[in-house]
Amino acid sequence: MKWIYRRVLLALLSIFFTVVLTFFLIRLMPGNPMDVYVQMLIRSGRARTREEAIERAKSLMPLNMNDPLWKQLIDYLLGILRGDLGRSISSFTPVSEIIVKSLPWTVFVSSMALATSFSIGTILGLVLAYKRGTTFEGFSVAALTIFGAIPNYIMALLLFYLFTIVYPIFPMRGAYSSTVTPGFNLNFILSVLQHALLPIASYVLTDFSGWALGIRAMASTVLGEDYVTVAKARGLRESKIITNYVGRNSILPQFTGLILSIGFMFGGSPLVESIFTYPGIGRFFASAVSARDYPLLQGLFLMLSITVILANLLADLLYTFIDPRVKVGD
Amino acid sequence: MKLNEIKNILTILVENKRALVGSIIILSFIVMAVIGPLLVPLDLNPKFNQVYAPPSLAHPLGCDYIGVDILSEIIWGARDVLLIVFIAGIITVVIGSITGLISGYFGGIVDLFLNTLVDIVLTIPGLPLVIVLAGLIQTRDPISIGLILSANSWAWLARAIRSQVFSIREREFIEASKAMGIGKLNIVFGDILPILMPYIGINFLFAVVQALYASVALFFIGVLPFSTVHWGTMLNIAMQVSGAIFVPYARHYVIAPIIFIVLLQVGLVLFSYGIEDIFNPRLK
Repeated sequence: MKWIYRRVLLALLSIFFTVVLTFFLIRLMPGNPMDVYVQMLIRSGRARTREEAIERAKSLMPLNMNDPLWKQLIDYLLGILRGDLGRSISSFTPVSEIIVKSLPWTVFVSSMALATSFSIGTILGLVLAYKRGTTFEGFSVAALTIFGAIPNYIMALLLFYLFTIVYPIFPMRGAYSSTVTPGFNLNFILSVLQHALLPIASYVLTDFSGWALGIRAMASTVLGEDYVTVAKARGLRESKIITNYVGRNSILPQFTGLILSIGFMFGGSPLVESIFTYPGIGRFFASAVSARDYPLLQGLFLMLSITVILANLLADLLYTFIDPRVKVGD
Repeated sequence: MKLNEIKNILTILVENKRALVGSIIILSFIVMAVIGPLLVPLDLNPKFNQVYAPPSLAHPLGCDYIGVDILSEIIWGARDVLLIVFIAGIITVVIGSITGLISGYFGGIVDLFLNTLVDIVLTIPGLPLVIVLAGLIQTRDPISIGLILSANSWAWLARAIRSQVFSIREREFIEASKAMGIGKLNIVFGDILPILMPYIGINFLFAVVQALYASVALFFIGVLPFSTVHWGTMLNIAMQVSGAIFVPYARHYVIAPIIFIVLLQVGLVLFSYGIEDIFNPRLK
């Protein structure tokens, strides 16, 4: 059990490190965030004089920039513990509120994409392993390799271009149409699905090949095992051999991969979401970078890192329970 | 290189179709990037009489939103694209290998420190980190961009090399070197490193694939001000700046950079898989 404590300690250390890193990243930025703030207040007409702008900026910034650095760091850490991540410079809404609003959209799209690509990929990979050496297999593997090589944002751009502009079948932007009322009604659900389909497809079309090739490689080694030969000799049906004998014994690494992907589910792709103007975490992340919205950037980056760290921890812990052969530690 | 070795490499390539196709694609891109700019001039002056001109003999890929020849942009862009990913790949491999070698061979407190560092770096999401760094640093220098792109990709390699070193350092010839009184650093870089070279070479290719993915992304969302003809920048202009995606007769302009990005990525992936097959025959 000792390694569990070590592993949890490492996760906490990583979180602490990331918090400190994001804190210093903001400090190191060219152009003091405070000045950016003040400029922005004056330019947007939210403050009439420079003094007023500085006053307002101070009240909006999570930290007092005149304090010594160590005190700012402690204030920042305490703020995070209270769930206070400061306010966005561009929209003046609390960062935590933006995260709460955008996270469900990202998790919705990413989890649908993950579930779809995982199931399609795993089934396809098993079939390919069983059809080893056939033309069908060779052709499919070549096609999968090419699909897997396409960056997901390029796929998103292609789908966006093809199906919202060249053939305007799907809506161009947003998570649902402005004509429907959010809530549990058929029109809303249909509209949400219609808006999410292309982003989901962008992930699925580029990700499923990775799952397929992964389990195919694993299953190829299992297929050489004696018990598979025996099962064939016993005259068991092909579908039964594929699922019960080969599938079960080659799915473990897939599950580890699946759990690790859960961490990235909370991030979404800044590029894919921007292309479809989908109001998720990734889209806010991309716009925070271009708008130099430091508090928002800091908060989102922190959220992204912590979810990945926790998912990694979960993957490591679960793995020992799924596969008793594994003794974690080096 | 001796004639024999060249012949050997060619035989291997012909036998492994993925490596063959991949290497042909990569070589064509390298030729395009190195020789292309000498043959095709890049004239960025606007020519408003040929805005979005369709593909023709004079302009094989047509013209862009201010009438610049797209093929010349693609050719000059290839230099930027390849230079950046090459530098990023080298940096990733150098940092990753050195960290992994030292961590694995020295063990003890050095290993504890380096390995914890690697673990922490691995938990920071890659693309968001690269985007944030690129947004902050705003550099045009290819080496700095390479460093940004390597921000956490080196850690994967460091971890893999470390575990390889663990198994190598127990072998007899290492014991022999030790008994002869050869220094630790000499053993690491003289005895262990050469054995790992093929492995490091394969990982160089993987690092380049990753760097291509991330670098095109950076130019595409417009956080880096490096080049006007990088393919990612071309996409950025087509998508966000010029509004070309909404112009029905500008399709060639939107599609051209996409095709070249995908082709290069496919070439690199095929080549890296093929090379992996050759060096790891048990994977077949």
